[in-house]
Amino acid sequence: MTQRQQFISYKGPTMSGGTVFVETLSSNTFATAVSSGSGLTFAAPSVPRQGGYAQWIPVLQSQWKITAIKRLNKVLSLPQNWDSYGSCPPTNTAANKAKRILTDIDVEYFLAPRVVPLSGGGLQLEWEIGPRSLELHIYEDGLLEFSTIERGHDPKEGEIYVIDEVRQLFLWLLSPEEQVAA
Amino acid sequence: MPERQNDESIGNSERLWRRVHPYQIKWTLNPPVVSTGAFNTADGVSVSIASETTLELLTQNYSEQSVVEFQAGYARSLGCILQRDPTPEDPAHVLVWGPKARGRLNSKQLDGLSCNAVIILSKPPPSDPNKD
Repeated sequence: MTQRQQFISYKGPTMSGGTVFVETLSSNTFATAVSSGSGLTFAAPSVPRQGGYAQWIPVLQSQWKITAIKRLNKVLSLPQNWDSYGSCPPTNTAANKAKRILTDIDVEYFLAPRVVPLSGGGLQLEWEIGPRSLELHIYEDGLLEFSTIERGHDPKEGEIYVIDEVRQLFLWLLSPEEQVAA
Repeated sequence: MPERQNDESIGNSERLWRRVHPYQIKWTLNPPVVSTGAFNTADGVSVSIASETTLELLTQNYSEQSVVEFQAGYARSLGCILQRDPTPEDPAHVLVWGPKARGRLNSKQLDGLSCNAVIILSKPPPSDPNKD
């Protein structure tokens, strides 16, 4: 993420209509990113100027994921004792789990979650659509749980073992039918 | 899970205060609502008995924190256990325990406290990470 923020020094058009960003990191290396119409598409973090090959990696395409990662990064910058009760900032384990959920989930169009820090080093991702809300609790040790709430009903909760299960929870959130989660 | 006993010296009518970080309040809602995340913590949720402290004492070193309030009796009605845990900094300190591992509150308790807690000291952040 830090390197992507540095992609400012040059930009120009690509033949396919996107935009190339190039940042000079040192006299020997530069970083390149290609932005397509839907957002940052591919990036090569560091490429030697002479004789080097770009290691292209796909990065976030969906706007909701880009927004989510931006929100997450702001929360990750919290200091020690941010909660006034002695909590550490979100742990690397929790942060990486949150990023993995956001990048691996195979959903192109969705709402960006609210990102909430938890005392003890965890994170919480929250979505609300109408009377339904979905929370993903990512604890400091990487434990992942969900909570689904529908007004007029008792909340339901459980542990998530496979990130694919999150997709089902998204479908529940969007569906007007009876809750299928948990 | 260790057996915890409710401290009966904390009356049901006692108001309990918790400092809450600005990122744990949903400022985009009108009125703002405290997130369940503010109570989703292991090893007991720290609160203070309002009648045994003051807002000034509670927030004197934490000017950016908001304060939310709920009643002890309401927390107990959700199944929470309340135990005094006085500290040198806060003799009115209490821990709120839930039934899950490491004393975490369950979703019903988290949702109940989130819906019921009142923001009595509101400190919006200069920049809300969840408002683009």
